[in-house]
Amino acid sequence: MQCLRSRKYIVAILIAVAFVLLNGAGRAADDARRAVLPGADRFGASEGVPPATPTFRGEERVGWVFSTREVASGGGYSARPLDVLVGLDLGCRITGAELLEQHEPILVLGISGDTLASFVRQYAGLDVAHRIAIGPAAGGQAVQAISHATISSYALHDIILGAARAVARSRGLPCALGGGGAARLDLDSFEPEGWEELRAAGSIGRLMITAGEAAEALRRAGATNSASATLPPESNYVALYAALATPAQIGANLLGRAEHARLLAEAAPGSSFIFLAGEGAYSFKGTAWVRTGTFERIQLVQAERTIALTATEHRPVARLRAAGAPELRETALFLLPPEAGFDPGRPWRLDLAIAGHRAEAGAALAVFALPYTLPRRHLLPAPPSSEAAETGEEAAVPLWRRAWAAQSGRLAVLALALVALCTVLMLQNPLSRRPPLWRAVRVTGLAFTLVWLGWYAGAQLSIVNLLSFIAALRTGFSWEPFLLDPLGFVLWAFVAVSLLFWGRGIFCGWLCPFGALQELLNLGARRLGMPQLAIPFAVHERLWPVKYIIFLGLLGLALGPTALAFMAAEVEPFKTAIILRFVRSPPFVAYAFALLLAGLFVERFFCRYLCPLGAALALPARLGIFQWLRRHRQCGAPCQLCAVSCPVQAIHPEGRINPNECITCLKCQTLYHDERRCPALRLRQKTQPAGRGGLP
Amino acid sequence: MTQGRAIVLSGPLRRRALGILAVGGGLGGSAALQERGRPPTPVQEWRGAALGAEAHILLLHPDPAKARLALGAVVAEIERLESEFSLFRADSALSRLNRDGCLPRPSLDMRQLVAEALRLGDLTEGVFDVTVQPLWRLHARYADGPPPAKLAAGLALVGYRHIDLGAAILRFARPGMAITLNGIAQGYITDRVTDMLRDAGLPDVLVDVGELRGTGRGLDGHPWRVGLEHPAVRDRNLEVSLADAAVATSCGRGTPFSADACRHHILDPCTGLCPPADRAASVTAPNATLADGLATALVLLPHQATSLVRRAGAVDAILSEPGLPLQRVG
Repeated sequence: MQCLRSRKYIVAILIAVAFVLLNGAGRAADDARRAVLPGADRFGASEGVPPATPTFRGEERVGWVFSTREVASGGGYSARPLDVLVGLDLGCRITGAELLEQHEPILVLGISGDTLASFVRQYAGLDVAHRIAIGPAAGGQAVQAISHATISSYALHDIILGAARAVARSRGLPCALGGGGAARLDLDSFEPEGWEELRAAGSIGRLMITAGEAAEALRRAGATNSASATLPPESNYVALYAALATPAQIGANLLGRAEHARLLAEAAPGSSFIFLAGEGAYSFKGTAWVRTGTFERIQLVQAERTIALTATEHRPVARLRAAGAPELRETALFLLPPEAGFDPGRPWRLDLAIAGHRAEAGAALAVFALPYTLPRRHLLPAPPSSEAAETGEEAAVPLWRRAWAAQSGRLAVLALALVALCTVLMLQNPLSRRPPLWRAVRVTGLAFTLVWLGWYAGAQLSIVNLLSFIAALRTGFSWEPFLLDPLGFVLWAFVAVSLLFWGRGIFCGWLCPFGALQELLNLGARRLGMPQLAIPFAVHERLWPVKYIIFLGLLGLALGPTALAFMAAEVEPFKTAIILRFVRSPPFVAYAFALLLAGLFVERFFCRYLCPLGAALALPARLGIFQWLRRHRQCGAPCQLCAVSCPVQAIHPEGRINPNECITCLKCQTLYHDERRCPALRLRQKTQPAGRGGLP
Repeated sequence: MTQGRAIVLSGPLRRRALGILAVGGGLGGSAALQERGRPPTPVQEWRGAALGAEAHILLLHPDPAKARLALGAVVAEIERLESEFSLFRADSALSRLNRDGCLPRPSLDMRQLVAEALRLGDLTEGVFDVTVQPLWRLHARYADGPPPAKLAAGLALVGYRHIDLGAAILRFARPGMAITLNGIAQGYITDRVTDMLRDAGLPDVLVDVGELRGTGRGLDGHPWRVGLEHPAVRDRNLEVSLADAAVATSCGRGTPFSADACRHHILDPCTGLCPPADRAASVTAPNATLADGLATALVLLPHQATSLVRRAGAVDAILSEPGLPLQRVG
């Protein structure tokens, strides 16, 4: 009995706690909303498309609060959207913006959360009905990009403005709709509608030609025989349907919401989707287009423009989703790029040619027109011209192209450095015959990698890149997020190719800023006479697998929640030591210092035993097609000179170089050519003159 | 009174160099209509240019706004077809064809018109030939007529059967060939414009875009009537009724090369020479493209007028030449 009662209490307490917690959560959410829309005292439920929370002061509506992630799923680096909470008033003014969440590896690597949050707060007070520039303010409204993170700034800029404008448009705010000017398409609105409804409303246009009409038109054009003449005159020769599938109301109803969204993502902004379908004896496609690349039976005409439809623009329609669609003989979708000059808001027509033959050689052509005018309900009035100009110019250039253009100078330096590195490796033998030169090249290279590549340009490859790649493969792969980081992209491409020739060594030994930091520090420590800890090979060998275990662990986590994997990836001190240059909270800095400290006594301690990226790159090292590091017959048996001098102890006691561990520093090669120190060479010097002299 | 006397289509029509004297029933007709108690239908009039010639459209429709909207579309269509067929625009499809010897992805309009040109070539046994453009260039270059050697070389490039009208690419079988569509493009544009207006719900129109075509009723409730001028027939008007039909007139005096108009734009593809400048032919046919092409052919081939008109499916033809009696066939 006692027991039962206490259990009841516990349940009651739990319920109370849950209630308080939930209430607290609700209040916290309201607090966040109040922060972005000051002066609001009541928030409705999130509603509408795109979803936004209506906000009131008393009974008066003052604006909306929305999350950019809910409004538009922006393509982030890790295929996970950034999320910004934005308040918008009735005058198209952003009342406040707060960063809610980000899982962007570029951001994780590059910028502190505070920097991002203060970047986002700049948008408070800006008017989205007008142009908002990023970078130096040239008279108008502008925000300042985060230095060293312009790409992240552009990404945030696009999602905040994109979402705010979508909400303003969808709510019919007069400021967003503007006055006059050319009409724009309503791309977003969607309500299920069947084929017949779309037909009746004029969203799908139709042209019906009976066999008799076709035969008569061909006869006028001089044709003496035509397929249509053999059919009953009243029979349907061809019924052609045409629709502008760009607005979701038409496109998503015809093709399905997912397919429509996919097309919007695939096509360049400003593209138009022309849907065509036909039934009847005559095919509007014909078969020649497969060979010639041109659909020669149709052309699109708008005002003074004639637009040929080609195989390049053609997309097959996998499945027609519209309810009640007739049995269609054929369907096609044409993706007209913006360069085609097609204006979806203006009337157009589709010309359909029916060919017949004449008694003399040559074809006769009869042309029928299917006029199409987009019903006005699919149009939005135009916003002010300044905004149209902005979206025009910004949408025209993809984000990643802007990133590459902005970093062209750095890319040039990196390209030069990579060429220099290749030259060094190609000239491996002459270089390693001159140890002082080799030492100079090595220290210069490492210093460049650490200072320019790492600390200045922030181009430290990381296991996080690999994890995002894997995450992206699972959730609809696209190159775009990776192209957003031009230096990283080029480095990864270079490393991928170099893996085939030299294994992990090119990256680990030459291009890893943290590796360079460890090696340079160790070099200094030796100069200062610090004792080096010689780890017995048996122990050393048994510590190798640790890094593989860490890598596999991260891989496993990456298959689960991505955020967790990124947190675990902090096992890499790269972000602390290179990207943030040790300006970080003490635990992280202490961890990085601890690793560097260990590196003073055991050269490249982190690389040898812990680095998950090194492990990932080591795995394909066995593929290495070439073995360019030279060995003598005596190496390992009995001589252990190289094995002892190898900075990462990658040489087995029996003399074999382990490609999984080798960092291609070329130190063993300097010894290979060293006639004073290499026992094998000295032996040869002794024996050769004796042998020659021994001859009579 | 918005309609009436003023409806006289006249002016220098480049190719014909002749005016259309009068159109419709004029005042008398509409007065008769008013007596019967019906308000007159408002007339919409548009003037512009097409392929270098003055263009003129008359429209009868109770809703001026609708008529204006349709006329806007017509203007764009004329512009579009000029960018296909104009010899004077360096970037037109025709100029590109003549320059490159081929035209990838020809528009349906280009294919349809070239197919029509080939058909007229066959119908007229080669007298109507769009490949005379090299000869035209020679006549334009040499003020006293091209030297015989040049003329022979030019004649070697003439022959409409050497046009390879492929759906994916239109090309010439011989390098150096060139075509002119001036003999039928105006008729084609006239037809397109008329069809567009009819499809837009405007059946009562008279279109003069280089050639004339009338559909529906004219001002007096009867089919449109137009007057024609031939140089050899100065004393009276030649009147033609256009009941859903087109009329085209060809006369060498339209674009003379020489001061005495001995040489002009109509060229015989067999000899490379011009027929008499004052010989004129007007053809009435169901559509303006056919009328236009046949009129050109009849100037070159007046003796076969009867059989040609019948074979081609035209309605009738009027032929005139100084010193010869007026000939009406059909």
